Amino acid sequence: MKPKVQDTRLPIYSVSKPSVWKRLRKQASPQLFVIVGLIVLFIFQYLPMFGILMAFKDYSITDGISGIFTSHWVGFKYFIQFFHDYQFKTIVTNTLAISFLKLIFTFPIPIILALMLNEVRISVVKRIVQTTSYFPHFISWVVVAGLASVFLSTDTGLFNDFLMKLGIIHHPIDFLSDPHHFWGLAVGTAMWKETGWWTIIFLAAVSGIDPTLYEAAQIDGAGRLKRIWHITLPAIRGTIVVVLILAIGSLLGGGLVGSNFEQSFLLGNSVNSGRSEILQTYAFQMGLAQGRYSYATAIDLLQSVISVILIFGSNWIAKKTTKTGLF
Amino acid sequence: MKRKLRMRLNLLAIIIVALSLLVACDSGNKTSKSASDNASSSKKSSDGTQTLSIFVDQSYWPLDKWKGEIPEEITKETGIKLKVQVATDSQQLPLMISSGDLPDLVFTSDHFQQMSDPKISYTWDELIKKYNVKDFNIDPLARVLNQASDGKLYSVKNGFTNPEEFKSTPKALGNVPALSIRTDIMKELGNPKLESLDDLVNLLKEVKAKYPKMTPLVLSPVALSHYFRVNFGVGYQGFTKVDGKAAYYIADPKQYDYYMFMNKLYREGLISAENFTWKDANKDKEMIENGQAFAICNNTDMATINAEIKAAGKDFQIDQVPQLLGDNAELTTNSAGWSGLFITKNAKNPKAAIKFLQFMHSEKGQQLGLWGIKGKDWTLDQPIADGGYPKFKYDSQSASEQKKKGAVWWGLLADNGINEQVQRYVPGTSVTKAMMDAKKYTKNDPILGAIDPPVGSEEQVTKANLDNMIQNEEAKIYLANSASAAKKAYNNMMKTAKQIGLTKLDNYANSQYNKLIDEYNKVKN
Repeated sequence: MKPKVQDTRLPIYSVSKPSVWKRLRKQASPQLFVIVGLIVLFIFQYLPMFGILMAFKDYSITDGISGIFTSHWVGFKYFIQFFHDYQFKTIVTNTLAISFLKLIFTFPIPIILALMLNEVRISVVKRIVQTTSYFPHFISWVVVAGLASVFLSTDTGLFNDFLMKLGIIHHPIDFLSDPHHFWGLAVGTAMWKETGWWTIIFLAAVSGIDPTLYEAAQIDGAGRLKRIWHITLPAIRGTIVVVLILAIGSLLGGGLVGSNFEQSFLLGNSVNSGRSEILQTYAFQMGLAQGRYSYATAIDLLQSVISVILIFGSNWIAKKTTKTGLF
Repeated sequence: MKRKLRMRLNLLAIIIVALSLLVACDSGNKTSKSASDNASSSKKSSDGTQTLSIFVDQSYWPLDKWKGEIPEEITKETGIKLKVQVATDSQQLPLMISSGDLPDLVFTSDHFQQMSDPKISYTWDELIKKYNVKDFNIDPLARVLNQASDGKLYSVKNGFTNPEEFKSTPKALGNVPALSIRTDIMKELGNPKLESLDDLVNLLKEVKAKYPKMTPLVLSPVALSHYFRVNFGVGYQGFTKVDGKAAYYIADPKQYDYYMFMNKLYREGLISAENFTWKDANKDKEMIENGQAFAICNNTDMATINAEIKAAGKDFQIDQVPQLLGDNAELTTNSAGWSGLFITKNAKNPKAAIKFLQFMHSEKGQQLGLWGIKGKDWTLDQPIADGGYPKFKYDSQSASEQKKKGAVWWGLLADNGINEQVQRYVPGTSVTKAMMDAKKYTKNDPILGAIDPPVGSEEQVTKANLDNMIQNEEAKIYLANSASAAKKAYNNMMKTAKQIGLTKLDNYANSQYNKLIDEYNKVKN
């Protein structure tokens, strides 16, 4: 016979939860702000999605918006056409290669810079480095492409001149016309432009860490590197994961640093197209230059589908491995 | 009470936010609407003139305003002023077509087929009939060459000259791709012989050796291949004849020699790889004017370049090589005209538009637009057919003079070719000599120029894909590191062309050619 155990738990008084409607009424003012935001989101983000239909229809631009609904269904004709396009392999390879290279190289750099800046004790130096590193974020890609041409040209480029004067190279490097340099050019310029900006996010996360943790670690004899490894990095892990998921979600657009389209469009040319043509520039060219809107929509839709898979996939992996995720 | 007041204030704030959003949307609409209104309205001003809006689909078009004595004279004659919008890039017109935001008139070459659509443009015939426009006769040959896939005529490309008429008009000169060189350096080198392509290669090598910091030759980004293709007797666009049959220009086996020559120029360091990456259409001009290059291949522009060099205070000039250098040189124009003027369905006053077109199409309108005011700007001593040409009282070949007066360009809206061609004749200049020389090698089959697959057709897609492929693949030939690598790249390009559908396109072109030639002969006879 089991001994009778007295229930020591406190009695639970059932409190009926207010209905959703009542809660909404209670939060009327803030909810109205949300509704305005949702309406804007719906009008500008969701409503235009009916254009996706074009990818499955034989659409002619002269039929106007109604033509999207009235034109003939052609199923996956344009997707199949794209799979058979002579540039398909090149374009997909370039898109994936540039995107993954950007992720690999541009994701850790802002974290490292944030950690380094956090260790700088002279605030003037810290501010100068911070300001100069995030300043390029505000320069448009058109200007960056112009600067790249001026600095990297073989005929008149300052960078080549500089390297040659130092005796590092004997012949100018064809940064702009040699296809083999395009991926490096894309990653390098993106890193230069956006590292400082993303450093701010990680610096903000670092500044939220309780300073007593560092003090305690210091008393225990932990050096700088130990403190970074055992305190700073674990404390900002959540931020790192969220930013990483966002970066993977927009991977095909260039991830954290974005700008795949701008770079390929502005720095790409017929000579380096074998390395610079990507899904977005090709869709742009097919749609606007050639007027093949259905075909261009199919190409772009394909990219969107891959992006959705990537964001769900990365979120699932993040949740499994770090117990942190976006949703 | 306080709570209620706070609630109301919150509601008011939300309404203001919502309204400001809507206002933002609305003002956005207004902006685009007013732009569209400006673009498509034809307002009658107090002086009785009408304003028609025009979109010129050529980004290099220098006249962005209806200004100068010639436009003013056209306004006097027609009562019409143009509100000009020049394309910023080649994507602008397709975007305008997509959004329906078209002006009264559109002048285009690249999107001629796209504009030849009953939903976008009026046919000239329907407006001529509707508004009972008299004395507006369209050349029956031009009708055959410009008809759309529905058999209707939405526009006529300007600059079309019957090949026989061109040959028989002594002073009619075609626009030829040009090679111009620095005269001072030529003198320093002892004016070496320049009568063949080998001579040219040797000369450029000599320049490279003596002036290592100088680029021996720069090619215009808008006419990159034109000069040398002409020297090898091959076309640089559209359809040509291969073994007596119509075929896309790339199918001509003679293209191989051209590509190998270009590759040789690159391997010898006589042209730079970066030349093929230039997006700025004036980069070649800039290089030659800054003294960074010795020779330039472009569309004839010597007078302008020299004027700009002089204005910059530099002490050198360039001179156009007066004869073609290739052993098999041939200027295959195969043109049924260049650009056409369309009256869009957005035109608020189609009657005024067709009347304007009628004037610009008339002999008087062409001469006014192309040459200037009779007596004041030019005189004509004898009929053009007998060797006459306009004797100008201003520097007719200078771009700045043309811009100041508004000369030449507005005349191109509806010129018949000959009037434009005799405008180029200036006795004694090297440019005229070069054009006279090129005339000997000119071959024009307008029927080939009239082959243009309809928008959205399989053939049009194939042609666009081929153009795109050629642009990417030929760069690999130009910049190959060895002759064998260049040959491999050429073979690869041709193999890809066949995979894309070159043979099918050639078959289509040939059947279209035979169909058009029947119609052409019927009209001609």
